[in-house]
Amino acid sequence: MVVEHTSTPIAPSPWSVSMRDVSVRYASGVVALKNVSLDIEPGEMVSVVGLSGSGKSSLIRTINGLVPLTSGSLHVGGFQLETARAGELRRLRGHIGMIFQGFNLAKRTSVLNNVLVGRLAHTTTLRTLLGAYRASDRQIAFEALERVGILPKVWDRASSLSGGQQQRVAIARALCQQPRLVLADEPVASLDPPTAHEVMGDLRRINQELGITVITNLHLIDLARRYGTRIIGLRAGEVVFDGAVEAATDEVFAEIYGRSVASEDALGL
Amino acid sequence: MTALTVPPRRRDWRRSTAMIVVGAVVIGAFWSVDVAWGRLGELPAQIIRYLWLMFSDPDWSKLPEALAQTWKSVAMAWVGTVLGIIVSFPLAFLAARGFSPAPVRWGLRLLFAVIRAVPEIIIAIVILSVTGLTPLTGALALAIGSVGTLGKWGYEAIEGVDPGPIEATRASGGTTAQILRWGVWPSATPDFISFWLYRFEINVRSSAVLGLIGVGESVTCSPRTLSFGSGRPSECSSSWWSS
Repeated sequence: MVVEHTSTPIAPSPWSVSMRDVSVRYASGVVALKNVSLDIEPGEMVSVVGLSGSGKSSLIRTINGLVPLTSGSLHVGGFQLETARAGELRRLRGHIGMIFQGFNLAKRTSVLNNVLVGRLAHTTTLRTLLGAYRASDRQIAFEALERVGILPKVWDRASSLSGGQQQRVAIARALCQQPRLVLADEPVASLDPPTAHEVMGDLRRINQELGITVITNLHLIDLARRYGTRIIGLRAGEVVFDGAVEAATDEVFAEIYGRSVASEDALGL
Repeated sequence: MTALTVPPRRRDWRRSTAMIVVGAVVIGAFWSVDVAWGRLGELPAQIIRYLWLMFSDPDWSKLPEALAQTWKSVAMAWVGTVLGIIVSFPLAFLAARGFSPAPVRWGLRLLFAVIRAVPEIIIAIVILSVTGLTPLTGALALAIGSVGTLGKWGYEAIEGVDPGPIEATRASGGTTAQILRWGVWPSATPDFISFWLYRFEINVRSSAVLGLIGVGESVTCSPRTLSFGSGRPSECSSSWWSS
Protein backbone atom coordinates (compact mmCIF):
# COMPACT_ATOMS: atom_id res chain seq x y z
CA MET A 1 0.00 0.00 0.00
CA VAL A 2 1.31 3.41 -0.90
CA VAL A 3 0.51 6.14 1.56
CA GLU A 4 0.80 9.70 0.40
CA HIS A 5 2.79 12.01 2.60
CA THR A 6 1.27 15.28 3.63
CA SER A 7 3.55 18.13 4.55
CA THR A 8 1.30 19.64 7.23
CA PRO A 9 2.95 19.56 10.65
CA ILE A 10 1.38 17.15 13.14
CA ALA A 11 1.23 19.72 15.95
CA PRO A 12 -0.74 22.85 15.17
CA SER A 13 0.48 24.79 18.19
CA PRO A 14 2.24 23.41 21.26
CA TRP A 15 0.84 23.91 24.73
CA SER A 16 2.26 25.45 27.87
CA VAL A 17 1.72 24.19 31.42
CA SER A 18 1.30 26.48 34.38
CA MET A 19 1.09 25.10 37.95
CA ARG A 20 0.48 27.22 41.03
CA ASP A 21 0.85 25.67 44.50
CA VAL A 22 -0.39 22.30 43.30
CA SER A 23 -0.73 19.63 45.96
CA VAL A 24 -1.90 16.07 45.43
CA ARG A 25 -2.98 13.84 48.28
CA TYR A 26 -4.24 10.33 47.54
CA ALA A 27 -7.13 8.66 49.34
CA SER A 28 -4.56 6.52 51.16
CA GLY A 29 -3.25 9.72 52.79
CA VAL A 30 0.01 9.73 50.84
CA VAL A 31 0.98 13.25 49.79
CA ALA A 32 2.47 12.92 46.28
CA LEU A 33 2.99 16.61 45.45
CA LYS A 34 3.50 19.52 47.86
CA ASN A 35 2.92 23.10 46.70
CA VAL A 36 4.46 22.61 43.27
CA SER A 37 4.69 25.73 41.10
CA LEU A 38 6.03 25.39 37.56
CA ASP A 39 5.82 27.10 34.20
CA ILE A 40 6.61 25.09 31.13
CA GLU A 41 6.75 27.05 27.88
CA PRO A 42 5.36 25.84 24.55
CA GLY A 43 7.91 23.69 22.70
CA GLU A 44 10.16 22.96 25.70
CA MET A 45 11.82 19.57 26.22
CA VAL A 46 11.84 19.00 29.97
CA SER A 47 13.36 16.12 31.96
CA VAL A 48 11.73 15.51 35.33
CA VAL A 49 14.09 13.62 37.61
CA GLY A 50 13.83 12.10 41.06
CA LEU A 51 13.92 8.77 42.83
CA SER A 52 10.97 6.44 42.63
CA GLY A 53 8.26 7.73 44.95
CA SER A 54 9.41 11.34 44.52
CA GLY A 55 6.17 12.31 42.74
CA LYS A 56 7.30 12.25 39.07
CA SER A 57 4.46 9.98 37.95
CA SER A 58 1.91 11.97 39.94
CA LEU A 59 3.20 15.20 38.40
CA ILE A 60 2.63 14.16 34.80
CA ARG A 61 -0.63 12.37 35.59
CA THR A 62 -1.89 15.58 37.18
CA ILE A 63 -1.14 17.45 33.97
CA ASN A 64 -3.53 15.27 31.92
CA GLY A 65 -6.08 14.95 34.72
CA LEU A 66 -5.59 11.23 35.40
CA VAL A 67 -4.79 12.29 38.98
CA PRO A 68 -7.01 15.06 40.41
CA LEU A 69 -5.28 17.91 42.22
CA THR A 70 -6.17 18.37 45.88
CA SER A 71 -5.38 22.10 45.93
CA GLY A 72 -3.76 24.79 43.81
CA SER A 73 -4.40 25.69 40.21
CA LEU A 74 -3.25 24.10 36.97
CA HIS A 75 -3.57 25.60 33.52
CA VAL A 76 -2.82 23.36 30.51
CA GLY A 77 -3.52 24.68 27.02
CA GLY A 78 -6.86 26.43 27.33
CA PHE A 79 -8.03 24.20 30.21
CA GLN A 80 -8.24 24.97 33.91
CA LEU A 81 -7.88 21.54 35.51
CA GLU A 82 -9.11 22.19 39.04
CA THR A 83 -12.56 23.04 37.72
CA ALA A 84 -12.69 20.90 34.56
CA ARG A 85 -15.61 18.50 34.17
CA ALA A 86 -15.31 14.95 32.85
CA GLY A 87 -16.07 15.93 29.25
CA GLU A 88 -13.51 18.75 29.31
CA LEU A 89 -10.89 16.39 30.76
CA ARG A 90 -11.50 13.99 27.87
CA ARG A 91 -11.06 16.80 25.35
CA LEU A 92 -7.88 17.90 27.14
CA ARG A 93 -6.50 14.35 27.07
CA GLY A 94 -7.34 14.14 23.40
CA HIS A 95 -4.61 16.73 22.80
CA ILE A 96 -2.03 15.22 25.17
CA GLY A 97 -0.07 12.14 24.13
CA MET A 98 1.13 9.88 26.90
CA ILE A 99 3.91 7.29 26.84
CA PHE A 100 4.32 4.71 29.59
CA GLN A 101 7.13 2.63 31.04
CA GLY A 102 5.23 -0.59 30.25
CA PHE A 103 4.11 0.55 26.73
CA ASN A 104 0.46 -0.20 27.63
CA LEU A 105 -0.47 -1.62 24.24
CA ALA A 106 -3.45 -3.91 23.70
CA LYS A 107 -1.23 -6.86 22.86
CA ARG A 108 -3.82 -9.08 21.23
CA THR A 109 -4.78 -6.67 18.50
CA SER A 110 -2.95 -5.13 15.55
CA VAL A 111 -0.42 -2.33 15.64
CA LEU A 112 -2.84 -0.20 13.59
CA ASN A 113 -5.70 -0.67 16.08
CA ASN A 114 -3.35 0.38 18.88
CA VAL A 115 -2.24 3.50 17.04
CA LEU A 116 -5.85 4.40 16.21
CA VAL A 117 -6.53 4.64 19.96
CA GLY A 118 -4.92 8.04 19.43
CA ARG A 119 -7.96 9.05 17.36
CA LEU A 120 -10.59 8.10 19.99
CA ALA A 121 -11.13 11.64 21.20
CA HIS A 122 -11.29 12.96 17.63
CA THR A 123 -13.84 10.47 16.25
CA THR A 124 -17.48 9.69 16.98
CA THR A 125 -18.02 6.95 19.57
CA LEU A 126 -20.01 4.82 17.13
CA ARG A 127 -17.19 4.77 14.60
CA THR A 128 -14.63 3.83 17.24
CA LEU A 129 -16.83 1.09 18.70
CA LEU A 130 -17.21 -0.51 15.28
CA GLY A 131 -13.58 0.11 14.39
CA ALA A 132 -14.85 2.00 11.31
CA TYR A 133 -12.32 4.81 11.38
CA ARG A 134 -12.31 7.39 8.57
CA ALA A 135 -9.68 7.11 5.87
CA SER A 136 -8.21 10.40 7.07
CA ASP A 137 -7.74 8.95 10.57
CA ARG A 138 -6.00 5.88 9.14
CA GLN A 139 -3.79 8.22 7.12
CA ILE A 140 -2.76 10.01 10.32
CA ALA A 141 -2.01 6.63 11.94
CA PHE A 142 0.14 5.52 8.96
CA GLU A 143 2.08 8.78 9.06
CA ALA A 144 2.66 8.46 12.80
CA LEU A 145 4.04 4.94 12.30
CA GLU A 146 6.23 6.12 9.44
CA ARG A 147 7.67 8.86 11.66
CA VAL A 148 8.94 6.32 14.18
CA GLY A 149 10.08 3.99 11.40
CA ILE A 150 7.72 1.12 12.11
CA LEU A 151 5.13 1.35 9.34
CA PRO A 152 6.08 -2.11 7.92
CA LYS A 153 4.68 -3.65 11.15
CA VAL A 154 1.28 -1.95 10.80
CA TRP A 155 -0.71 -5.20 10.43
CA ASP A 156 1.26 -7.25 12.98
CA ARG A 157 -0.11 -8.19 16.38
CA ALA A 158 1.35 -5.87 19.02
CA SER A 159 2.49 -8.84 21.12
CA SER A 160 4.76 -10.06 18.31
CA LEU A 161 6.97 -6.95 18.51
CA SER A 162 10.10 -6.43 20.61
CA GLY A 163 10.09 -4.03 23.56
CA GLY A 164 11.69 -1.21 21.57
CA GLN A 165 9.25 -1.69 18.71
CA GLN A 166 6.30 -1.72 21.13
CA GLN A 167 7.46 1.55 22.65
CA ARG A 168 7.68 3.03 19.13
CA VAL A 169 4.10 1.92 18.50
CA ALA A 170 3.15 3.64 21.75
CA ILE A 171 4.89 6.82 20.55
CA ALA A 172 3.01 6.53 17.24
CA ARG A 173 -0.22 6.18 19.24
CA ALA A 174 0.63 9.46 21.01
CA LEU A 175 1.55 11.16 17.70
CA CYS A 176 -1.70 9.95 16.16
CA GLN A 177 -3.50 12.26 18.60
CA GLN A 178 -1.77 15.18 16.82
CA PRO A 179 -0.78 16.23 20.32
CA ARG A 180 0.15 19.66 21.58
CA LEU A 181 1.95 18.14 24.54
CA VAL A 182 3.58 14.74 25.09
CA LEU A 183 4.05 13.24 28.56
CA ALA A 184 6.43 10.31 28.94
CA ASP A 185 6.62 8.36 32.20
CA GLU A 186 9.98 6.54 32.40
CA PRO A 187 9.71 5.66 28.69
CA VAL A 188 12.97 3.69 28.49
CA ALA A 189 13.15 2.02 31.91
CA SER A 190 12.07 -1.33 30.40
CA LEU A 191 14.47 -1.18 27.45
CA ASP A 192 18.09 -2.17 26.86
CA PRO A 193 20.61 0.72 26.57
CA PRO A 194 20.91 1.02 22.74
CA THR A 195 17.13 0.81 22.32
CA ALA A 196 16.72 3.34 25.13
CA HIS A 197 18.79 5.85 23.16
CA GLU A 198 16.80 5.22 19.98
CA VAL A 199 13.50 5.80 21.77
CA MET A 200 14.81 8.93 23.51
CA GLY A 201 16.01 10.09 20.09
CA ASP A 202 12.47 9.63 18.74
CA LEU A 203 11.11 11.82 21.54
CA ARG A 204 13.72 14.49 20.81
CA ARG A 205 12.80 14.49 17.11
CA ILE A 206 9.15 14.91 18.03
CA ASN A 207 10.15 17.96 20.03
CA GLN A 208 12.60 19.44 17.51
CA GLU A 209 10.89 18.63 14.19
CA LEU A 210 7.26 19.03 15.24
CA GLY A 211 7.75 21.59 17.98
CA ILE A 212 5.62 19.64 20.47
CA THR A 213 6.17 20.30 24.18
CA VAL A 214 7.66 17.13 25.71
CA ILE A 215 7.87 16.34 29.43
CA THR A 216 9.78 13.16 30.25
CA ASN A 217 10.20 11.46 33.62
CA LEU A 218 13.62 9.88 33.98
CA HIS A 219 15.74 8.62 36.81
CA LEU A 220 19.02 8.22 34.86
CA ILE A 221 21.15 11.36 35.01
CA ASP A 222 22.91 11.05 31.65
CA LEU A 223 19.64 10.53 29.76
CA ALA A 224 18.07 13.51 31.54
CA ARG A 225 21.01 15.75 30.60
CA ARG A 226 21.41 14.51 27.06
CA TYR A 227 17.79 14.65 25.95
CA GLY A 228 16.37 17.54 27.95
CA THR A 229 17.03 21.26 27.71
CA ARG A 230 15.68 21.86 31.18
CA ILE A 231 15.71 19.73 34.31
CA ILE A 232 13.16 19.71 37.08
CA GLY A 233 14.20 17.80 40.20
CA LEU A 234 11.59 16.35 42.56
CA ARG A 235 12.24 15.05 46.04
CA ALA A 236 9.45 13.84 48.33
CA GLY A 237 6.85 15.69 46.25
CA GLU A 238 8.64 19.04 46.22
CA VAL A 239 10.54 20.81 43.45
CA VAL A 240 14.14 21.04 44.68
CA PHE A 241 15.70 22.08 41.38
CA ASP A 242 14.45 23.81 38.26
CA GLY A 243 16.93 25.07 35.70
CA ALA A 244 18.89 24.56 32.51
CA VAL A 245 20.77 21.31 31.89
CA GLU A 246 24.10 23.12 32.24
CA ALA A 247 23.24 24.16 35.79
CA ALA A 248 22.32 20.60 36.85
CA THR A 249 25.71 19.51 38.17
CA ASP A 250 26.43 16.28 40.02
CA GLU A 251 26.06 18.25 43.26
CA VAL A 252 22.57 19.27 42.18
CA PHE A 253 21.65 15.63 41.46
CA ALA A 254 23.05 14.61 44.85
CA GLU A 255 20.67 17.16 46.37
CA ILE A 256 17.73 15.83 44.32
CA TYR A 257 18.47 12.20 45.20
CA GLY A 258 19.38 12.93 48.79
CA ARG A 259 22.63 10.98 48.43
CA SER A 260 25.85 11.10 46.45
CA VAL A 261 25.60 10.24 42.75
CA ALA A 262 26.76 6.73 41.81
CA SER A 263 27.50 4.96 38.55
CA GLU A 264 24.09 3.20 38.71
CA ASP A 265 22.48 6.61 38.20
CA ALA A 266 23.64 6.65 34.58
CA LEU A 267 22.79 4.42 31.63
CA GLY A 268 26.42 4.77 30.61
CA LEU A 269 26.39 4.27 26.86
CA MET B 1 28.55 -20.13 59.22
CA THR B 2 26.47 -17.57 61.03
CA ALA B 3 23.07 -18.35 62.43
CA LEU B 4 20.24 -17.33 60.09
CA THR B 5 17.62 -14.94 61.37
CA VAL B 6 14.42 -16.24 59.84
CA PRO B 7 11.57 -13.80 60.47
CA PRO B 8 8.60 -15.37 62.29
CA ARG B 9 5.87 -16.58 59.95
CA ARG B 10 2.76 -14.49 60.23
CA ARG B 11 -0.50 -16.36 60.85
CA ASP B 12 -3.74 -15.01 59.52
CA TRP B 13 -6.41 -16.19 61.97
CA ARG B 14 -9.23 -15.56 59.48
CA ARG B 15 -7.56 -17.81 56.97
CA SER B 16 -6.91 -20.50 59.59
CA THR B 17 -10.51 -20.34 60.80
CA ALA B 18 -11.81 -20.62 57.23
CA MET B 19 -9.60 -23.66 56.58
CA ILE B 20 -10.80 -25.39 59.76
CA VAL B 21 -14.47 -24.70 58.97
CA VAL B 22 -14.15 -25.91 55.37
CA GLY B 23 -12.26 -29.00 56.54
CA ALA B 24 -14.96 -29.79 59.11
CA VAL B 25 -17.70 -29.44 56.49
CA VAL B 26 -15.91 -31.79 54.10
CA ILE B 27 -15.34 -34.42 56.79
CA GLY B 28 -18.93 -34.02 58.04
CA ALA B 29 -20.23 -34.45 54.52
CA PHE B 30 -18.32 -37.68 54.01
CA TRP B 31 -19.59 -38.92 57.38
CA SER B 32 -23.22 -38.14 56.67
CA VAL B 33 -23.64 -39.54 53.16
CA ASP B 34 -23.05 -43.06 54.43
CA VAL B 35 -21.11 -44.40 51.48
CA ALA B 36 -20.80 -48.18 51.31
CA TRP B 37 -17.08 -48.15 50.73
CA GLY B 38 -16.95 -51.92 50.71
CA ARG B 39 -18.78 -52.01 47.40
CA LEU B 40 -16.24 -49.79 45.70
CA GLY B 41 -14.49 -52.91 44.40
CA GLU B 42 -17.58 -53.85 42.39
CA LEU B 43 -17.59 -50.55 40.53
CA PRO B 44 -15.54 -51.56 37.45
CA ALA B 45 -17.74 -54.60 36.85
CA GLN B 46 -20.86 -52.45 37.22
CA ILE B 47 -19.58 -49.91 34.73
CA ILE B 48 -18.95 -52.63 32.17
CA ARG B 49 -22.38 -54.13 32.83
CA TYR B 50 -24.14 -50.81 32.26
CA LEU B 51 -22.17 -50.10 29.12
CA TRP B 52 -23.17 -53.56 27.91
CA LEU B 53 -26.85 -52.92 28.66
CA MET B 54 -26.66 -49.58 26.86
CA PHE B 55 -24.86 -50.62 23.74
CA SER B 56 -25.02 -54.40 23.26
CA ASP B 57 -28.31 -54.65 21.45
CA PRO B 58 -29.15 -51.37 19.70
CA ASP B 59 -32.54 -50.97 18.11
CA TRP B 60 -31.38 -49.47 14.83
CA SER B 61 -34.93 -48.61 13.79
CA LYS B 62 -34.91 -45.88 16.47
CA LEU B 63 -31.77 -44.31 15.03
CA PRO B 64 -33.39 -41.74 12.69
CA GLU B 65 -35.63 -40.48 15.46
CA ALA B 66 -32.76 -40.39 17.93
CA LEU B 67 -30.67 -38.35 15.51
CA ALA B 68 -33.57 -36.00 14.88
CA GLN B 69 -34.06 -35.52 18.63
CA THR B 70 -30.37 -34.91 19.11
CA TRP B 71 -30.39 -32.29 16.41
CA LYS B 72 -33.37 -30.56 18.00
CA SER B 73 -31.61 -30.67 21.33
CA VAL B 74 -28.54 -29.03 19.83
CA ALA B 75 -30.70 -26.45 18.06
CA MET B 76 -32.44 -25.54 21.31
CA ALA B 77 -29.07 -25.26 23.05
CA TRP B 78 -27.76 -23.07 20.24
CA VAL B 79 -30.70 -20.65 20.36
CA GLY B 80 -30.49 -20.56 24.17
CA THR B 81 -26.76 -19.83 24.07
CA VAL B 82 -27.04 -17.07 21.48
CA LEU B 83 -29.84 -15.36 23.40
CA GLY B 84 -27.84 -15.75 26.61
CA ILE B 85 -24.78 -14.16 25.01
CA ILE B 86 -26.78 -11.22 23.66
CA VAL B 87 -28.26 -10.48 27.10
CA SER B 88 -25.21 -11.25 29.25
CA PHE B 89 -22.66 -9.36 27.15
CA PRO B 90 -23.67 -5.80 28.09
CA LEU B 91 -24.62 -6.87 31.63
CA ALA B 92 -21.14 -8.30 32.25
CA PHE B 93 -19.58 -4.91 31.48
CA LEU B 94 -22.08 -3.16 33.78
CA ALA B 95 -21.24 -5.62 36.57
CA ALA B 96 -17.46 -5.09 36.34
CA ARG B 97 -15.69 -2.94 38.90
CA GLY B 98 -14.70 0.49 37.65
CA PHE B 99 -17.22 0.88 34.85
CA SER B 100 -20.59 1.42 36.55
CA PRO B 101 -21.99 2.67 39.88
CA ALA B 102 -21.79 0.27 42.83
CA PRO B 103 -25.58 -0.26 43.21
CA VAL B 104 -25.87 -1.37 39.57
CA ARG B 105 -22.88 -3.64 40.01
CA TRP B 106 -24.12 -5.34 43.15
CA GLY B 107 -27.66 -5.63 41.80
CA LEU B 108 -26.42 -7.44 38.71
CA ARG B 109 -24.11 -9.69 40.70
CA LEU B 110 -27.01 -10.68 42.92
CA LEU B 111 -29.14 -11.37 39.84
CA PHE B 112 -26.42 -13.59 38.33
CA ALA B 113 -26.05 -15.49 41.63
CA VAL B 114 -29.80 -16.07 41.94
CA ILE B 115 -30.00 -17.37 38.38
CA ARG B 116 -27.06 -19.70 38.97
CA ALA B 117 -28.73 -21.09 42.08
CA VAL B 118 -31.82 -22.18 40.11
CA PRO B 119 -31.61 -25.23 37.80
CA GLU B 120 -32.76 -24.67 34.22
CA ILE B 121 -35.53 -27.22 34.68
CA ILE B 122 -37.11 -25.05 37.41
CA ILE B 123 -36.74 -21.94 35.24
CA ALA B 124 -38.51 -23.84 32.46
CA ILE B 125 -41.38 -24.87 34.74
CA VAL B 126 -41.84 -21.26 35.85
CA ILE B 127 -41.83 -19.72 32.37
CA LEU B 128 -43.88 -22.41 30.64
CA SER B 129 -46.93 -21.00 32.39
CA VAL B 130 -46.52 -18.08 29.99
CA THR B 131 -44.93 -19.60 26.92
CA GLY B 132 -46.43 -23.10 27.12
CA LEU B 133 -44.81 -26.40 26.27
CA THR B 134 -42.95 -25.13 23.25
CA PRO B 135 -39.35 -25.36 22.11
CA LEU B 136 -39.13 -21.63 22.87
CA THR B 137 -39.65 -22.37 26.56
CA GLY B 138 -36.63 -24.63 26.60
CA ALA B 139 -34.50 -22.15 24.70
CA LEU B 140 -35.56 -19.29 27.00
CA ALA B 141 -34.83 -21.36 30.11
CA LEU B 142 -31.36 -22.10 28.78
CA ALA B 143 -30.87 -18.45 27.83
CA ILE B 144 -31.75 -17.28 31.35
CA GLY B 145 -29.52 -19.93 32.87
CA SER B 146 -26.70 -18.86 30.55
CA VAL B 147 -26.97 -15.24 31.71
CA GLY B 148 -26.15 -16.32 35.26
CA THR B 149 -22.88 -18.03 34.38
CA LEU B 150 -21.82 -15.91 31.38
CA GLY B 151 -22.45 -12.72 33.35
CA LYS B 152 -20.24 -13.87 36.21
CA TRP B 153 -17.44 -15.21 34.01
CA GLY B 154 -17.63 -12.07 31.90
CA TYR B 155 -17.21 -9.52 34.67
CA GLU B 156 -14.44 -11.58 36.24
CA ALA B 157 -12.59 -11.66 32.91
CA ILE B 158 -13.07 -7.90 32.48
CA GLU B 159 -11.74 -7.20 35.97
CA GLY B 160 -8.76 -9.45 35.33
CA VAL B 161 -7.43 -7.78 32.16
CA ASP B 162 -4.12 -5.92 32.00
CA PRO B 163 -4.78 -2.39 33.33
CA GLY B 164 -2.12 -0.85 31.03
CA PRO B 165 -4.23 -0.51 27.86
CA ILE B 166 -7.11 0.83 29.98
CA GLU B 167 -4.88 3.61 31.29
CA ALA B 168 -3.64 4.32 27.76
CA THR B 169 -7.14 4.62 26.29
CA ARG B 170 -8.22 6.82 29.18
CA ALA B 171 -5.11 8.98 28.77
CA SER B 172 -5.88 9.51 25.09
CA GLY B 173 -9.29 10.93 25.94
CA GLY B 174 -11.51 7.85 25.52
CA THR B 175 -15.06 7.66 26.89
CA THR B 176 -16.02 4.70 29.09
CA ALA B 177 -17.46 2.89 26.07
CA GLN B 178 -14.27 3.50 24.08
CA ILE B 179 -12.11 2.35 26.99
CA LEU B 180 -14.12 -0.88 27.15
CA ARG B 181 -13.88 -1.35 23.39
CA TRP B 182 -10.15 -0.70 22.92
CA GLY B 183 -8.68 -1.01 26.42
CA VAL B 184 -10.56 -4.06 27.69
CA TRP B 185 -12.11 -6.01 24.83
CA PRO B 186 -8.90 -6.93 22.91
CA SER B 187 -7.49 -8.53 26.06
CA ALA B 188 -10.74 -10.23 27.10
CA THR B 189 -11.81 -11.67 23.71
CA PRO B 190 -10.27 -15.15 24.06
CA ASP B 191 -11.78 -15.59 27.52
CA PHE B 192 -15.22 -14.56 26.31
CA ILE B 193 -15.14 -16.89 23.33
CA SER B 194 -14.06 -19.86 25.42
CA PHE B 195 -16.83 -19.12 27.98
CA TRP B 196 -19.41 -18.96 25.19
CA LEU B 197 -18.34 -22.29 23.74
CA TYR B 198 -18.27 -23.92 27.17
CA ARG B 199 -21.73 -22.60 27.97
CA PHE B 200 -22.97 -24.02 24.65
CA GLU B 201 -21.67 -27.43 25.77
CA ILE B 202 -23.50 -27.11 29.08
CA ASN B 203 -26.67 -26.09 27.26
CA VAL B 204 -26.57 -29.14 24.96
CA ARG B 205 -26.47 -31.31 28.06
CA SER B 206 -29.17 -29.31 29.85
CA SER B 207 -31.50 -29.38 26.86
CA ALA B 208 -31.66 -33.18 27.13
CA VAL B 209 -32.69 -32.83 30.78
CA LEU B 210 -35.32 -30.25 29.84
CA GLY B 211 -36.75 -32.88 27.50
CA LEU B 212 -37.77 -34.90 30.56
CA ILE B 213 -40.45 -32.37 31.49
CA GLY B 214 -41.74 -32.24 27.96
CA VAL B 215 -40.60 -28.75 27.14
CA GLY B 216 -40.78 -28.55 23.42
CA GLU B 217 -43.74 -30.84 23.10
CA SER B 218 -46.68 -28.82 21.94
CA VAL B 219 -49.67 -31.05 21.37
CA THR B 220 -49.47 -34.55 22.72
CA CYS B 221 -48.31 -33.72 26.19
CA SER B 222 -50.45 -32.00 28.79
CA PRO B 223 -49.09 -30.23 31.88
CA ARG B 224 -50.49 -33.10 34.01
CA THR B 225 -47.49 -35.16 33.03
CA LEU B 226 -45.39 -32.79 35.06
CA SER B 227 -46.48 -34.42 38.33
CA PHE B 228 -43.14 -35.45 39.73
CA GLY B 229 -44.77 -37.19 42.71
CA SER B 230 -45.78 -40.11 40.53
CA GLY B 231 -42.20 -41.22 40.25
CA ARG B 232 -42.53 -41.06 36.50
CA PRO B 233 -41.25 -37.63 35.51
CA SER B 234 -42.91 -37.65 32.15
CA GLU B 235 -45.00 -40.02 30.16
CA CYS B 236 -43.98 -38.44 26.94
CA SER B 237 -40.28 -38.05 27.34
CA SER B 238 -39.66 -40.25 24.34
CA SER B 239 -40.70 -37.51 21.96
CA TRP B 240 -40.27 -34.27 23.74
CA TRP B 241 -39.87 -31.90 20.89
CA SER B 242 -42.81 -30.86 18.75
CA SER B 243 -43.08 -33.08 15.74
